[in-house]
Amino acid sequence: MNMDNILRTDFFNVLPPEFITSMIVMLIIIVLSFVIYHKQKHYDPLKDSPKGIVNVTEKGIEIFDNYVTGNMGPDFSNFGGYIMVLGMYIFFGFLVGMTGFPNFIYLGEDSLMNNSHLFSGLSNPFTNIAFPLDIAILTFAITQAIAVKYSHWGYFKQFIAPIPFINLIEMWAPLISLSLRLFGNAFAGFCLSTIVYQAIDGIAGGWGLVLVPGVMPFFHAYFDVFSGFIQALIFVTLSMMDIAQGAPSIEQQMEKVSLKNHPQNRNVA
Amino acid sequence: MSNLLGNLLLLAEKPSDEVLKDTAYWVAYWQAQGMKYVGIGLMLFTMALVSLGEGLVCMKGVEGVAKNPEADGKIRTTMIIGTGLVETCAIYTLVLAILLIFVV
Repeated sequence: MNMDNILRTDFFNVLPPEFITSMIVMLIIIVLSFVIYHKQKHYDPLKDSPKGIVNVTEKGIEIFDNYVTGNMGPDFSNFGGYIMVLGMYIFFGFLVGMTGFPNFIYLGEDSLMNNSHLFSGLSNPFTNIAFPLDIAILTFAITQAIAVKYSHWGYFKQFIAPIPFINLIEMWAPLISLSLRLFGNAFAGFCLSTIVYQAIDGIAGGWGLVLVPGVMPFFHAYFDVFSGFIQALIFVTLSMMDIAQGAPSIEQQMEKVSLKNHPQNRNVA
Repeated sequence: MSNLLGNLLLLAEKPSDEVLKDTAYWVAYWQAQGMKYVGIGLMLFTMALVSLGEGLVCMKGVEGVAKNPEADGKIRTTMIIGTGLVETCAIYTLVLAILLIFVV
């Protein structure tokens, strides 16, 4: 059986090579979650302190949950899972390109690209407009769902608000800005580092073995590690703020659980 | 000058090879293509303004830390998120420039 064309079958035309990176990142997250699950099954919080990966996970979950409740309020305390996976997906998507793992789609011999030796690694999935658009559509869907959940039929009042029909345009702004910000950052980093790789390849073919480890780490450190982390943080923060707009504000949520109306507190201002 | 502007309207897409053998069409096509790069050069004003904006964000961040050194961590997080938001316009401009060069 000819395995060369098996991943290039027509699945909405042609699969992009970033698809493989996306699948690998999701596989990493799934394997990590299974490993942590099995490790924490034998962990009793009353007996001993956590060790290793359970320790790190506890700290990470604490950080994410505090961030989420700080931005959205105590009603959304079970929202940290979505935010954590989203942040991890974006950050790991930027990072796995730096490993030397080969890209299965370009391993076939009938690759038509001239510089295929430069593109034989895993490319950043967010250089393809489909993937950042995907997760922005997720956030958009959750925004609308939360707005419907908390205001039922009042959801349609936003279209008749002070100036009618202006919200029809304003509701798409977060979608476009979130997706294009991530795409632009990823694509800019990819373009600039590819230009330097091609320059090294064209000018100093053999010396590239010495120049690339000496010059490229700085590019990858800024464009992949730093930029990936910042963009994940911004995407996640803006998602949270857009979703919290449809729900009651933090003050209103605290009102519901406050003890102001308790008979014991009737003399307190 | 009016000749230049008239050419721009004709040449959104590349004419066929037969038509391009005529010198006038060839010159007009490359004039239109050259105007793309003039447009990209004009985008640099946008970039200058964006850099100015980022400087303002950092300025206020540093001032906030100076007034209240205890809130160092929160101010730093907010400042970095603000920087990322301000950079968005520069990224849009970059994407449009790449679009102009390679697609139009």
